[in-house]
Amino acid sequence: MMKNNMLPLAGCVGMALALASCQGTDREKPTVCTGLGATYSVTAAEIDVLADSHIDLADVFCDNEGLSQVRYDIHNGAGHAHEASGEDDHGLVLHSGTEWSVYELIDVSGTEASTDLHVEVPNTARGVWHFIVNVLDAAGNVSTYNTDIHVENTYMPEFTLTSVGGEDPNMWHGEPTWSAGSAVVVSGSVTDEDGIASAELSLVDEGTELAVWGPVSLTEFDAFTDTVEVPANVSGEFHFEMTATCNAGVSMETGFHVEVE
Amino acid sequence: MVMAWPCGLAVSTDAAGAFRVSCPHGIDSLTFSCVGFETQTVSAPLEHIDVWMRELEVMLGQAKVSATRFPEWEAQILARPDLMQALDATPGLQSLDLGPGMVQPVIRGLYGSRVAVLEDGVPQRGGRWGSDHGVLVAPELQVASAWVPGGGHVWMGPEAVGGGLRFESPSRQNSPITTTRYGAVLRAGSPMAGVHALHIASSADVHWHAGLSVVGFGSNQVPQRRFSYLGRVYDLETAALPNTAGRSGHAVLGVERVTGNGRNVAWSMRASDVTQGLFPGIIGLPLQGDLAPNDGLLEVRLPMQHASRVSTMLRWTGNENPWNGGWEYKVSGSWNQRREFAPPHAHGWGPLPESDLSLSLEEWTAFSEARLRGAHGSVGAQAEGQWVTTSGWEFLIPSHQRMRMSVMGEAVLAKSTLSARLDVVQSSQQGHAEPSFNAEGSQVGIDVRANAFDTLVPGGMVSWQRPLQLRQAGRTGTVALVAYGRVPSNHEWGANGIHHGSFRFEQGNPNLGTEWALEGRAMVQDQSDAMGWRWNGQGFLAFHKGFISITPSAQFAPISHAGQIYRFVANDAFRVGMEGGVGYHAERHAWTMTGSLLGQWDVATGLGLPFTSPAQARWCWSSTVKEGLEVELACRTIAPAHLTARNEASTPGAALADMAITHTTTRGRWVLEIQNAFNSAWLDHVSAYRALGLVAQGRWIQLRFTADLKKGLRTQQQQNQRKIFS
Repeated sequence: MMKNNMLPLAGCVGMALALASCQGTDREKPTVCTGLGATYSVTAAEIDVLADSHIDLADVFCDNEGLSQVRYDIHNGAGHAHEASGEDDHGLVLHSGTEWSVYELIDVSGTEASTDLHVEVPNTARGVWHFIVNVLDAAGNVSTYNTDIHVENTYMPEFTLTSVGGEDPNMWHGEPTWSAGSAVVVSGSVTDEDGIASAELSLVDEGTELAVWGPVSLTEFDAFTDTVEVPANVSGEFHFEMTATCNAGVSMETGFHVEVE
Repeated sequence: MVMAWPCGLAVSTDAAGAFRVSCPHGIDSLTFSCVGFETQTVSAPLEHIDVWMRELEVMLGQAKVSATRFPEWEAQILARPDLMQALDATPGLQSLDLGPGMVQPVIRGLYGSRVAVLEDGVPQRGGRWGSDHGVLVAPELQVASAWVPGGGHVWMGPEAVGGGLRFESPSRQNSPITTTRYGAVLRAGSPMAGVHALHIASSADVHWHAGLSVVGFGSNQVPQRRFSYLGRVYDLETAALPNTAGRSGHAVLGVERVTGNGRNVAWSMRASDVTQGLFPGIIGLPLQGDLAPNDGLLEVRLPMQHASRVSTMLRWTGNENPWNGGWEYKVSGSWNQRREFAPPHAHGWGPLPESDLSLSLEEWTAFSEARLRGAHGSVGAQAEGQWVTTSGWEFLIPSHQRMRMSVMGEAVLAKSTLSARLDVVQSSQQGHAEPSFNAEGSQVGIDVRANAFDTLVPGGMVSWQRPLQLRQAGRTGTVALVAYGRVPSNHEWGANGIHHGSFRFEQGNPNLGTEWALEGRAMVQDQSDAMGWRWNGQGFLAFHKGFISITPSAQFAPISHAGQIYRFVANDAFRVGMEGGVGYHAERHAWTMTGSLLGQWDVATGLGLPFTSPAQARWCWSSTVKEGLEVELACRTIAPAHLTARNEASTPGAALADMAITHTTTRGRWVLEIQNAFNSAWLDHVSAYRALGLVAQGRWIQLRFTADLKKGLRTQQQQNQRKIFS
C-alpha cells in the first residue's frame, strides 16, 4: 500500500528534477581581458603614482553574452586587507589623506568593452589605496578584481618609524597591542625638502577623541626618540597620531591604530 | 465507536467521523465514545445527527491530563524547550543564526514573510519580512508548540507558504491543573544564562497564568579567525564574533473564566524586549579596529538592535451544544518596535547624521477572527491591519499600511476535508526622497527611494485533504492538494536600500502581484509498536507561479558600500522536498535517523532559489542507563550545498557531534548538552553570515534544569507517606 502511494510522488519528483536540470542560463562570469603588461590596469601587480598628479586607469572587459556595468572603487587601505592581495607582508603603512576615495559606475555593453577612468590624486594623499573593479554582465553575474595603488607624496612632510616598542614596525602583522601603564619607546624621523617647522605625537582615545598622552612636541626631526606613557587606567581602541608642518606651511597627519589592554 | 440502542449494534466511524447505523425496530438512543473525548448519549436521534465531542480531561493518579489540539491535521509537535534547538533537530526545519534573543524559523527552505508564526492563532508581525528580523517568542512560557508544513492552511493566513509555527498559551482547556513551571539554563562556550518561571492556576471555571523569562548571552563563539566581506579580509582577534552579546526578557499574563451563561472569556498579554549587539560587519564595511572584542561578557556596543513587542488578546466563545462548538471570537492588538543603532560613520557619503538611530520600524497591528465550529466543518472571517512607520538615516523601506480581509470555511466530507479562503489585501506606502552625495560630500541630486502607491490585491486558497488509514494497524497519514495565493509583502513592494541583515542592497518592485502555487503533500507514519521499528515520511511538490525571490540585477548600487543591487523579481519556481525518519526502539536503547531533502529551482534559469537548505540527516543513539538517567549521542550530517542561486557560493558539507545526558528526578529534570562537540568549523548555507565566509556556531556546553510543581501533588504524597508509616 505504502509502496503504491509513494511511487507516483517519486515519479513526479524525478521528472521535475530532470526538467529543472535541463534549463540553461548564463552562469559564466565576465572577465578582464586587458592585455598583459598594462601599467594602469587592475591586472597590474601594483600601480605607483605621485600625489598631486593624475592617472588614467584603462581596462578591457569581456563576457560570453553581454556586459552591463563596471564599478570602480578606490579607497584607502587602512584597517583592512583584501583577498589575495598579500598585504599582510607590507608591515606598517603610514597613510595620509585617507578620506580620498573614488567611486564610479560605468555602463558597458556588448561582449567586449573598454573603459578609461581619469583619476586626479590629491596632494594630501600618501600610502596604499585599494583599487577594486567589479564587472557585471547582463544576467547579473559578477566578477571582482583588485590591486593596490601606492601613492608617493613629496609635497608634504613624511614620518618614518624605525622602532616602536623595540620592534621594527615594517615587520608587524596586523595592529599593535600596548599594555595599560606601559612605556613604549618610539623612534623615527620626520622629513620634508622644505624643512620641518613643528611636529607632535599623541595617543588619542577613539571613543572620546581625547588625547590620553600628549600632544608632545618633537625637538629633533631627523632622528627623534620619545617615550609614550600609556595611562594605567585606560583600555580599548586608540590611535597614535603624528602631525607635522613643513617650513612652506604644509601640514599633514598620520598614525596607526593601537589596542590597549 | 457508535452504539445504537435498543439493538446494541456497534459501528465504527470512518476517519472523518461519519457513520451509518440502524436497528430493526428503530433507534431510541445512540452512545458515542472516542479515545480522548467524553462519551455522549443522544436520545431519540433524527435521521441525520451531528454530535459535538468534548475533549476529555482525566485524572491519572495525581496528574490531570489534557491534550492540546491544533487546527491543522498536519501539525507536528515541537517537543524541545529551546526553540532554536527544536528547529535544528527537526527535519525540514532550521533556525537562522540571529543569536539567542531572536529566532528566525526556516521551514522547507522558506522564512520571513513566507512562514506564519501564530500565538494562540494570532499571526505575529513586526517587520518579519527581513531574514534578520527574528521572532520574539518564549516557548518556555507556552504550553505547546507545533509546526505545520506547507502552504494553504485555511486558518493560518496567507503567509504560510513554507508552513507555520503555532504556539499555545496556557488555558483552561490545555492546562486544567494548578502548576508552577520553572527552570534555569547556564551555557559555556557561547556564554548564556537564563531563568524562567510560569505559574498556571486553573479550577473548573477560572484560570490565570503569569510567567517571566530572562536571558543574558555573550558573543557567539566561532572556530574561525579570518573572514572576508566585499573582497576585504578581516581578522577576528578571539574566536568570537565581536559585539553579538545581548539580553532578552519575555513576560506573559492571562486570565480566563466561564461566565454564568456558559461562555468562556479569556484575556492575555505578552511583552518581549531584546537588546542585542550587531556584528560590526553587518553595518557597512568595518575597519579592522571595529572588530575588537567587547570588554565585558555581556557588553553591547554600537552597532546594536533593540526589539520590543507588546501584544494583547481577548477571546470569547458562545455556548457549546451537541450540534456545534458555537462561535469563537478573537480580537488582538500589538505594538512592535525594531530599532537599529549604528555609528554615524556607517552612513556613507554626505554630512554625518546627528543620531545613532540608523533604522526604526514602529508597527501597530490589529487582528480579529470569528469562527463557527460545526460537526461538518467551520466557517469564519479574519481581519488584519498593520500601520508601520519607518525612520532613521539608513532608508530601507517607506512607512506603509496594510489591511487584510478574509472569509474562509472548511467542510468535512465523508472521506476528506475541503477548505477555502478568500483574501483581499489593501496596502499603501508613502514616498521617500533624500539628497544624494558624491564621495567628496557634495550634493549631486535627489535620490528618490520610494514612490507613494495604493493597491488592492486578491489572494486566497483552496485545499483538499484526505486522512489515510492504511491497512496495517498504526499506519496513518494525510494527503493534501492545495492551491494558494500569497500577496507580496511590503518589503517586496517598497524596499530600496541597504538591508544590513542580509548584507545587500535590496530593491522592491511595486508592480509585483500575487504569487500563486499548486502544492501536493503526503505524510505517512508507522508507530504501531512501542518496541521495534518505527518510521515516518512526508513530502511535498509545489509549482509556484510568479514566486518572488531576491535576484541579482545587472546594476550596482549608487552608494559605495552597498555592492550589487538585488531586486525582488517574480519568477516561476518549482520546489520539492521530503522529510522522514526511521528508528529501532529496544527496551533500553533506541537508534534513530531523521533527515530532509529539499530542492528549489527558478524554472526560467534552472538555478536554485537563494538559501536552499542542503540535505541533512541526524543520526542518534539514546540509552536509558538506569531509571531516570538517559544518554543521547547524535551526529548531524549536512551535505554540501551545490544547488545555488546566481552569485551564491556553494557550501561544503559538515558533520557535527552532539551529546546530551538527561537526569529526571522527583525534583525536576537536569539536561547536560554539548553541541558541536569537536568545535568543527562549518558554514551554515542558510545563514546570512555565510555571505561573509563566517562559520556558524562553535562548541557549547549547556546545563538546563526544569521543574514542574503541581499543586496538591506534594500534599497527596505526604498523605500517602503518613498512611505507610502509621
